[in-house]
Amino acid sequence: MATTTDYYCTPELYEIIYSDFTADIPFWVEIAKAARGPVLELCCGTGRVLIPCVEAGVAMEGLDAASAMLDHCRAKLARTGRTAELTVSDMRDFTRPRRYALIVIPFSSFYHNLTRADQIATLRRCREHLAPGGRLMFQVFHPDLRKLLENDGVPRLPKTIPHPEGGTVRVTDTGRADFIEQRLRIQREVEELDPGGAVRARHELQFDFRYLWKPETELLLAAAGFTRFEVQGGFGAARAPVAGENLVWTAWQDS
Amino acid sequence: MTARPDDPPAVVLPSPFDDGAMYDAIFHGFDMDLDFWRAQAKTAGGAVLEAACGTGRVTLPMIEAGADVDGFDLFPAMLARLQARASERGLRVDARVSDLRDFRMPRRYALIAIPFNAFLHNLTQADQLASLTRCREHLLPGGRLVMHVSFFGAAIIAASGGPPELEYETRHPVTGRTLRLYDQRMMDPIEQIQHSINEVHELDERGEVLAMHRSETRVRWIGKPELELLLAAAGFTRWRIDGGFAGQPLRSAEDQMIVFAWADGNR
Repeated sequence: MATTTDYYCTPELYEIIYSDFTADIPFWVEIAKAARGPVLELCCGTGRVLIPCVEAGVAMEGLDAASAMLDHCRAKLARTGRTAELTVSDMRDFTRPRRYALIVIPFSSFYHNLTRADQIATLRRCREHLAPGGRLMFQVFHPDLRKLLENDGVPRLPKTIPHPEGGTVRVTDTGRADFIEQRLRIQREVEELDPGGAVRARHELQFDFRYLWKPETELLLAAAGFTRFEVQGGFGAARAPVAGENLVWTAWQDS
Repeated sequence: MTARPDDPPAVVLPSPFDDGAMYDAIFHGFDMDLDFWRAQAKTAGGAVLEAACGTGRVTLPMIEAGADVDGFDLFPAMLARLQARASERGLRVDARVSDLRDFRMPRRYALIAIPFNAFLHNLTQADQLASLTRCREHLLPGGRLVMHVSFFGAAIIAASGGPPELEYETRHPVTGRTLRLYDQRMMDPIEQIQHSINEVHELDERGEVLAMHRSETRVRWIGKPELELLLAAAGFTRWRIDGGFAGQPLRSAEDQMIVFAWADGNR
């Protein structure tokens, strides 16, 4: 059976599937530049956010639980002669020798914490790794009722993305939502098609999310010891959160 | 469209709890939870406190089941009605005007009961935590808090912004007239706060509306994981959340959450 860990064993496919999602990159680059110090990114993956930050001159460190993703990130950095310190580590129990002005967790990766213990452990780790006055920022999607109800065990309409080496990649998701425990399991079929439309390769993947409501997130931050935090909607200038859209949380380490 | 909780209502309406007689006329037949609360009270092993006891819909059956029950409520009109009903039945009850967030009773309890979504009237996290902390402080060692909270499910969110929905229909216990309770809801899914405009229509035998009583109320819905964080933050050490009054597991978003919480640190 496929697991979330397996899901991140195919970095090339991951990058193709999410190649159209770039809306958050300028936001994170600006945040990272403003930190004026080393920045730690959790769940940095293949460097979708990390590499643009490095290119903008930020000293980035990245953690990810999937070594295949980090290998891919490292190879991409090497091709442009850049470096970043990348470490295979679980966000729930990472240990680094320094403290950071900024820790970021983009792209709803925090939702891979599936239990309350995992959520609080991750937040505590982050708080312990922040310099005085430093901040943790993470982005998660706010649950959208209509989208959640689509996770009814029926395959959704496939999404087709051009493959950079020719042909296409076809992605078909089948989701199941547990509204009580706020979990979402996506079973994903990824097919690589040649230019004639014949299936060249097929992958079965799976990943789990544990989504959060806003008041619940506030309780988690408090349980992890944060005393000051705020939330904004979207990736632009600060604005009020909007239901069903992206939320960006900021939590400060005490000065 | 979603309403912001801080939007002023178009008209200022009374609370549904300002008129105990009307409340009773609507809910006199609502008894799906009474067997559960009687059984809880009988097995409490000591005194019982009912928070937001209102006109005694649950209080009086618990006393009649042999329990030693105190109560409090925010609304004097509801308590006046409770005392009148208790007298009619030859019962005595210590029920006082108090707020769930800062009540102080002269004794501690083996059971604190919060029936029928009363806890959802806490509109902020500070209020939720203050209420739970007060309850915990009023529990005897080994005592339990038990509350009934409907689950924050898709249907609740989907009901937002629609036309008034017929929520409940009954007969007036005195006049025999049909009473219809309509609810028009506006939900803010970010803060989980629902603003409801309630209308009670009193119909004559031809179905014409004889009288209409409007009121408004706000509730703040709670998800299960959120509820667990609230209990922990308020100092509860153990809890169980069932999916109905018969002890069934919580499985569906349409289920009722029945919460049992213990504070093992209480001495």
